[in-house]
Amino acid sequence: MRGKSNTTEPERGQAFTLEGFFGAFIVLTALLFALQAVVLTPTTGGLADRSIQSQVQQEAQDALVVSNQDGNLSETVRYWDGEGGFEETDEAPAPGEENATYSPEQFGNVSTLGDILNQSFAERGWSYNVELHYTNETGSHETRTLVYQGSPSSDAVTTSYTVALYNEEEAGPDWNEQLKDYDNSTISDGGVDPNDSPVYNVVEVRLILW
Amino acid sequence: MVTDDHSRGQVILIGAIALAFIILGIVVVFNGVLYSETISSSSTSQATADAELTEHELETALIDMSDQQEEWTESEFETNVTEFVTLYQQTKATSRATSVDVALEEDDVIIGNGSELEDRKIDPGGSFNATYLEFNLKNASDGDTVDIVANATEDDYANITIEGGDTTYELEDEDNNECTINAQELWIDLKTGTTRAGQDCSDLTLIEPDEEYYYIDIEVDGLDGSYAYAHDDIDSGEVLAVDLEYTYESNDVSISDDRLIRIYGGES
Repeated sequence: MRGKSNTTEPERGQAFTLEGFFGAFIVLTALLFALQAVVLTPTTGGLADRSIQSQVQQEAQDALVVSNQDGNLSETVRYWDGEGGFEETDEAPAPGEENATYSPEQFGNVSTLGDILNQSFAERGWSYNVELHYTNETGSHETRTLVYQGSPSSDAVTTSYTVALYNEEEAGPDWNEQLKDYDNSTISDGGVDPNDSPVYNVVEVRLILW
Repeated sequence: MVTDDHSRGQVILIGAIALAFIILGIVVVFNGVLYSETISSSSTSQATADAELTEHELETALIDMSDQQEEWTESEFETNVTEFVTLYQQTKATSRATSVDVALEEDDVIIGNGSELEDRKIDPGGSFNATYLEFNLKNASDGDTVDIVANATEDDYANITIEGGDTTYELEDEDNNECTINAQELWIDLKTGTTRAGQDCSDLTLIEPDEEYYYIDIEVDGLDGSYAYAHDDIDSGEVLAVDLEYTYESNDVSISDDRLIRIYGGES
C-alpha cells in the first residue's frame, strides 16, 4: 500500500500545479479585464463626467433661452456697426473672419447673454465662444463670431438657440434703419423677397463652452 | 490525513476558480451598465432636450411673426410660416443631423379679434360657428362678474358666469354646474375649459365648436382683462392661435406633436 501510494503522489502534485496555474490564469485574466473596464468609465482620458457635462449644457441652454425672453438675444444679433461688423467690438477677429469680436467683459456690457455667461461661467473659469450661423441669399452657409476665446478643447460643451430676424426690425448702431433697408448689413438676408414674407433670416446662436 | 488535506486543497482551488468567474461576470455586467448610462441614455435625453428646445424656438418665432403685421389672413400667415420653416430647416441642418418639419393644414391658423374686456355683443348678422373664445381676467375683487351668453336658438343656449374673487374664480353654467379655479389671474378657453392654472373646467357646458350661434353677448361688471374670439365669418384679423403639427427627427429620437399654440397676448 505504501509503495503504491509513493508512485501516485508526484502525479497528483503535477495535477495540482497545473490546476494552480490554470486558477492563477483565470484570476489574472479577470483582473486584467477589470482594469480594462476602467478605460470605459466616463472620466478616463481627461473627459469631464457626463452628468456634469449635461448639467453644464442645460445651464448654457437656459442662458440662451433666458437671454431671449425680452428679445435681447435678437437685439444682440442685430447690433451692427454699419460697416459689416458688430458695434462696440474690442477684440481681434476670429481665424478666417474679418469682423472684430467682443471680449467677454464687453459682451457682458452689450448683451444679456454675455452678462449671464460671465456670471455663470466666466467667473468659474470657463471659456466660451459665441458664433452666429445662418444661410445667406444664395443658400450658402455663413458664420460670424461674436466672442472668440480660442480653440475649444475636446470636452467642450455646445448648445444653440435659433432666432428669427424680421424685415421691419431695426438694427444698430442707431436703431433707426430696418433690416430690409440696411445698406451694409452684417448678416445678409436669407433670400426671401421682403414683399412675400416679413422674415429676413433665421440665425442660430451657437455657444461653445469649455 | 494526507488524502484529506489534498481534497481540501482541491475544494479551495475550485472555490477560487468559481470566485474568479463571479468577478469576471460582475465586470462584464458593470461594463454594460457603464456603457448604457454614459453612451446610450445620456445622448437620448440630450436629444429629447433638443427637441423641446426646437418646439420652444418655433413657438417664439410664431408669436414674433404674428406681431409683424396687425392684420393677417389665414393663407398669408400660412405662407409666412412655410417661408420661415424653410430657412429654419436650412439653418438647423448646419448644426446637427436633425430634421424638423412643420405641417399646417386648412383651419390650423385661427384668425380673429381681441380687445380689452368690455361689454360687447358679437353679432356678425347671421349664424356662425364660434371657432375660438378665450378670456384673460385679472384684478378681481369679490362680486366682480362677467356674464357670457351664446345664443344658438331660443331653447338651446350657453350661459357662463364667471365671478371673481381675490384668489379664486368661480364659473357656473346654465345648468348650475360649478367650477372653481384658484388663481389671481384667470386665463380660460371657453371652448375646451382649459386654464393656465393647472385645473380645467371641461365639465361645464361650454361654447360648442359645431353649434350655429346667432350672437355671443358679453356683459362685464367690475372685472379687468381681455378677451379674444374667432368665428367662421372673420377673414382677416389678429392671429389668435395656431394648431401646429410638428415633427422632430434625429438618430436618437423621433418626436411628433400636435398642439395648439396660443398666440394672442403671448410674449416671446
